[in-house]
Amino acid sequence: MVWGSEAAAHGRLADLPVKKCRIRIGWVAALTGVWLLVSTPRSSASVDYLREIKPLLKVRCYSCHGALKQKGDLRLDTLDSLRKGGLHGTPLGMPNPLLLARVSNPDETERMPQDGSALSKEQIGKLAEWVSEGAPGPSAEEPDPDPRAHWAFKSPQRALLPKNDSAARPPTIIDSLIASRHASRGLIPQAEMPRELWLRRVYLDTVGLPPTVRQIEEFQNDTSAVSHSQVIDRLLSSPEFGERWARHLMDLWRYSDWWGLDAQLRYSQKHIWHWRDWIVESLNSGKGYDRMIVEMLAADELDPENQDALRATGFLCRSYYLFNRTTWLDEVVEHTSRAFLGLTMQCAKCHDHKYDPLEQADYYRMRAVFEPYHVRVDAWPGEPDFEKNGLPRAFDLNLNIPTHIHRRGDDRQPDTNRVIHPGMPVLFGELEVKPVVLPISAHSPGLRRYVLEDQVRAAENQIAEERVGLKQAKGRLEALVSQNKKEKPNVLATASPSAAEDPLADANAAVKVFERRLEAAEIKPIALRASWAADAWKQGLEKFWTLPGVHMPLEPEGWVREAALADARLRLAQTQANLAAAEKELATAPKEKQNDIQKRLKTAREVIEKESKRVENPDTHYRSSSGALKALVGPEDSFDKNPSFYPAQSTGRRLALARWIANRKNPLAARVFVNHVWTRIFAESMVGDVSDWGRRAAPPLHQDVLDTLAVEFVDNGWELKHLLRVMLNSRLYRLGSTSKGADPATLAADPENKTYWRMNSKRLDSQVIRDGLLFASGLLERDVGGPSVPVPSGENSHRRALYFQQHGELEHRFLAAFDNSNVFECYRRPESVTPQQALAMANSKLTRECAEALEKRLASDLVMRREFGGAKRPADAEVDRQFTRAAFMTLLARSPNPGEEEACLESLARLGPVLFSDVEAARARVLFLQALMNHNDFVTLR
Amino acid sequence: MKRPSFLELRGHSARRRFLKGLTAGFSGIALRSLLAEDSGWKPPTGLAHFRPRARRVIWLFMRGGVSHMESFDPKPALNKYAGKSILETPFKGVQTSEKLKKVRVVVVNDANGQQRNTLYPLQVGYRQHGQCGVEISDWFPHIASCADDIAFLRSMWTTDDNHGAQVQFHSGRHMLDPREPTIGAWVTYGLGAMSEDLPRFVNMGPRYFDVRDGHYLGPAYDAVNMKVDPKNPLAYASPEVALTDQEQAEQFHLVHRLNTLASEEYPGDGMLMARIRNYELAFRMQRAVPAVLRVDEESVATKKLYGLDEKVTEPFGRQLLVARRMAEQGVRFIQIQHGDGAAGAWDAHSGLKTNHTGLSAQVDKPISGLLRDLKSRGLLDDTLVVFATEFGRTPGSQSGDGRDHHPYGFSVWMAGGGIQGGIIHGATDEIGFHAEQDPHYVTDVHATIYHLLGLNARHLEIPGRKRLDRDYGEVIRPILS
Repeated sequence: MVWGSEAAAHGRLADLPVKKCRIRIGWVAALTGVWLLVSTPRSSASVDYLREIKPLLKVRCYSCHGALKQKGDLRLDTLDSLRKGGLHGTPLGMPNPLLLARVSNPDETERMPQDGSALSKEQIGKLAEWVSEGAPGPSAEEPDPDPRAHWAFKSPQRALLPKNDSAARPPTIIDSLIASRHASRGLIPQAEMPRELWLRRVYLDTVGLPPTVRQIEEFQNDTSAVSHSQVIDRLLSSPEFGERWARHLMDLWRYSDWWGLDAQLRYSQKHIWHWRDWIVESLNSGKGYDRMIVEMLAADELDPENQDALRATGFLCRSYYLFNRTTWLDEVVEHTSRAFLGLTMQCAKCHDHKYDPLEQADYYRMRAVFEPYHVRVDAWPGEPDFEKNGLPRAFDLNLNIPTHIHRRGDDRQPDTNRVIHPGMPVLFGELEVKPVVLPISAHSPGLRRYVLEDQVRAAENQIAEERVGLKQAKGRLEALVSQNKKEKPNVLATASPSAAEDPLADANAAVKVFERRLEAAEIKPIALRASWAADAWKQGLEKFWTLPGVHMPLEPEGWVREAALADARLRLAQTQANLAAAEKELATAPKEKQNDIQKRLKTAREVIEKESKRVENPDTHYRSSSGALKALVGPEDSFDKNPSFYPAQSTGRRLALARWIANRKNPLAARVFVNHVWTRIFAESMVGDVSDWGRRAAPPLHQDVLDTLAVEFVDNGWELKHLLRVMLNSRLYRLGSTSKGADPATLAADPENKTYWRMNSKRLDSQVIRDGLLFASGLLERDVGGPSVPVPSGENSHRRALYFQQHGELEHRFLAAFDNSNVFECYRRPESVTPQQALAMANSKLTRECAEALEKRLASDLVMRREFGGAKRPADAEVDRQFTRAAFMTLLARSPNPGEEEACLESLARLGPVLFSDVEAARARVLFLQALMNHNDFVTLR
Repeated sequence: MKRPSFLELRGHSARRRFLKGLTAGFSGIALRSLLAEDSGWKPPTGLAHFRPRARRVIWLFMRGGVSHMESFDPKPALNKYAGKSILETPFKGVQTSEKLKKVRVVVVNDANGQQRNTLYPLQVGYRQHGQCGVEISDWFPHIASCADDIAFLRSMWTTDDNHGAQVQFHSGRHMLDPREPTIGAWVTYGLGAMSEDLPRFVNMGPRYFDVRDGHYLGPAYDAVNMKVDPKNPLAYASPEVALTDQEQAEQFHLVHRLNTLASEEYPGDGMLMARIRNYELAFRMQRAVPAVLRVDEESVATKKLYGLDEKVTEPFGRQLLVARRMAEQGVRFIQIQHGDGAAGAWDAHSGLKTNHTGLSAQVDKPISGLLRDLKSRGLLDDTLVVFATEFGRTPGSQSGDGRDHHPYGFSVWMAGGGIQGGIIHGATDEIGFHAEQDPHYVTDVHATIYHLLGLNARHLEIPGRKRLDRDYGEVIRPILS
């Protein structure tokens, strides 16, 4: 490219110069208010209202003076309403037109528009000129439509299905509607795609893995009328279905493992993979999407003791952010509304929405729904260590915390004069919020039976460990003593002046340390049980269960005394163990450390004194049993302050919101989801931006399909499998994706395939490409669920990519090359084509490994004929031919055409040396397979 | 039989004409589907909107926060009032200024990012340089010798008092706001590729707090992370399992043949066409990328200019020499980050003197070498060089011998295409606290870059993604030539 071409573009694209001198006059006039200067009538209007004035008014004025709102009783969306005026006068009235006075008022509180910057001089000049010309414009102007009449805000209805006169297979509702559109426009759809390509498509779309050669052959031989639908049913009931579709939903719901700075957790939560497993299981079990929404937003209010369901609230845990509560809640509000309602609320954070009927207060009403909630990790049955496992879940912590509007969206400027109550955008009505009373196990997780059992078991293991330690320490001591006796039979085993040089003294001290530690460890289970019992009594748990080792109930207060005594004994023993350890250390420590150790000794002695008194004279203090770890509130918070008990009520706000969203009356929820599914199957969205269904979204061409599918979906329990069954069984889904051989008139009328006269091709998602490579070569490991595979190990892992750790700090190299989802938001994956993708396929260890494994499999399947006994000969062309066909079938699910076969055979011949061994032949085939993996159609669904 | 090498396939002129029309990296469906009939929105053409003054950017970012007082905005008052509390000096007003309210704190009550009240003297001397007489600290003697080619901006401010300000300097958005594409992503989105063989947008050195640049523009606008090691310059740049050149050429040849055959079955498939083109590009990139890193080809004098002959300057010097070679070969946006560590090496909370002495020695000579080299080759006329950092450092001392984060006033500089050299623009107050004269938010630097590249950033907006006025910034006109 040379300067010239960019300069040429300059001429075309630069802003058109404005008529500067006249604007100057207008501007001066605006400031002085002397409008008569420019109000000389002209013979012909030079400013075009529709082209130059209306668009300006629309962008800057309509949000307050249009169909959405009529502040000051004023509308500016038609010339008639401009002339009519409002409470404060008429915008165009002479001699001082209010319109011009208000836009050029230097006082910011008076100036219009109130939101954003002032109009530019050029814009004001244009307005002035237009007014001076007598504000000409068309007479019959349509006012802006009422935003509540927006198509997406009205409930979807089933379309009347056109009469079907085809005698063939009964089409799905999709086909009836699409076919009638083709018929009315005179369009001719493409023929069905080859059966084997349909099979590859349906496998990859449903389970994210390609069909095997055997499955392709079976399908090709199955000529029954139900062969397609049987395959669909089988795939939808296989466990891999949940794994594939969970990944789609993880995109939409911003799945992310935790990350931060080194060990500091800043985003999301540990063990959030439980949420991923919940998604997989929910999809496989056919759980309704409505139920999924409610569980994700409010399982803790809906079913507070159901641990399986609580995993769903990972959706709310994912938005956890250590540093700033507003940023955290902003993400929850924005992505709850975008994911489930297809509405972007973000604009309303700072001011009323410019296009949509969403007010700033609506934003904070939604925030108020989430205001009380916080995040904690509940102990996982069988694992008392929160680092190793746990259940991240949402709960209401601050029940009465008020929500205020932030002026201009600035969290440092809350408007404390006004409390905002929880709700949804007023456009949609009111929320009915009912508080939820929680069962004891929900608000006092430490009282769950398994929590105590696990902690006691861990404590008992500790006892066993200390015993082993003690035994070893004693053994060392004995060995030293007997050694000393041999060497210096006359010297008694006593401490010498310098312990540093006296291993015997050190061994003695070690024994003492372990004795103390064992003592402490033995008290631990007693203390745990006593605390648990005291807590149970405090929480009014009448029939709590008893454990061996706990005396039978005393009077209730007795438990508290018991717990306090055990607590004091435990602390005493622990401190004595620390003391013994410090003393041991002191004996051998270098000088510079002695001071520190002395300090530790002093503290320990003080604690011992205090606890000894408590043992003699027990009080009522003890450490309550804790079954959860509350997420930190800011970096200054500490897990030392972790509470044992949580509020016994939940506000019920999230449950109310969830029930309103997941309701058949909600005009958006089902439709938005149906469109997401449609987009992932048919590779085009019916609505322009999948996550913005506000007024800028034009009614879709296929609204009847969308609406009918939405109602069908809701009528069938909001079940994804049912929705997919309708889509996959459609005739549309079977159409070829090529435009080769298309009816020329159809191609000319709709080159972009907006009417679906053919299927769309699409690039596979990054995970599907990688999993498909491993699967085709037989290397894919099929373990299901569990902790995420760390990013570095992901490079070598053969598990499905769904299980890889994913967060904002590190990316998996191979997945990143193919547009992996962005954890900040991913409502739709881009499909880029970049050179790095070709390099990833050509150069990665992954493709080479897969090619090697696949070569072994295919080669062993083939009969390697050797007709030239003994001597190494060029590859048998027939062997290569068979190999090529098998490779095509495995990787592309089709046979090569003659041209392709010829290209492959030539390549295979060139890749192998003239005289080659088996090893070399295998290498040639490996390289050939690796190349074939780079075929466009391997990463593409045809 | 003679084997046609894959490279020879490039000879077909008709196909080349066709391919010319496609840019490297085709960001597909998501943006395409936004082309709703009624929206009137169109993706950028890849051409400048108006006559550009520069065609490419070399972006040098010092991670951690360079002390402005000890680099490009020396403050003798700090020596005069050293050891005094700010409240005891005539400048006590700085601590009640309304400007303090611009800051949005991420880590509340953090140990860092606080007011530091005891003025700390300059840890290095300074003198005037060039015809313009700009004062520059003695830690940057080589950059100082290029003073008359540089426009110094001494009145930057930002709103994050912690290292999230790195993200903010690249994207214009505070860490507490949703992520936005960075300046490099926007530039490469707006302007097409200039090279057929190299990525448009490259990052070298440690990244700031984000693995992505493109965000809603898509991963195609993320920087390609590159290392100066010719053996391992970027992910999958060369076969991870050994392969001869001949074998690989055969593989690419076969893929090309098969895809071309497929294109007969799928006429008019734009994605397939783009993929064919990108295979070819990839094949060339494999050779072009290591080639651009082969700085050994450069003359001894050039290598010396960048300090490749000295241990201290060699690592950064090598990156900058590679940057110049990339600039020559058409990489649009070359982003180089200096300073390892989570927060960034320049983060001198203590031991500022040792810290900055060492780090400035690493970058000073290479940067001046880059400016001189670009100039002598005529490249400085249409290459924009930006030197930036996320914030300055406090006039007061922290931990006795360091300085804390300081977002209220700091310095960056620009040089090259369309920039007037020897300019000092804007000023902080006498102790370097607030940007007082002609203050500039970070996006003003972006606006200036857009302007010089001939882009109207407002024409790049994407439907449904509202950018704020502040995201666009304002062109810093006084520094334009």
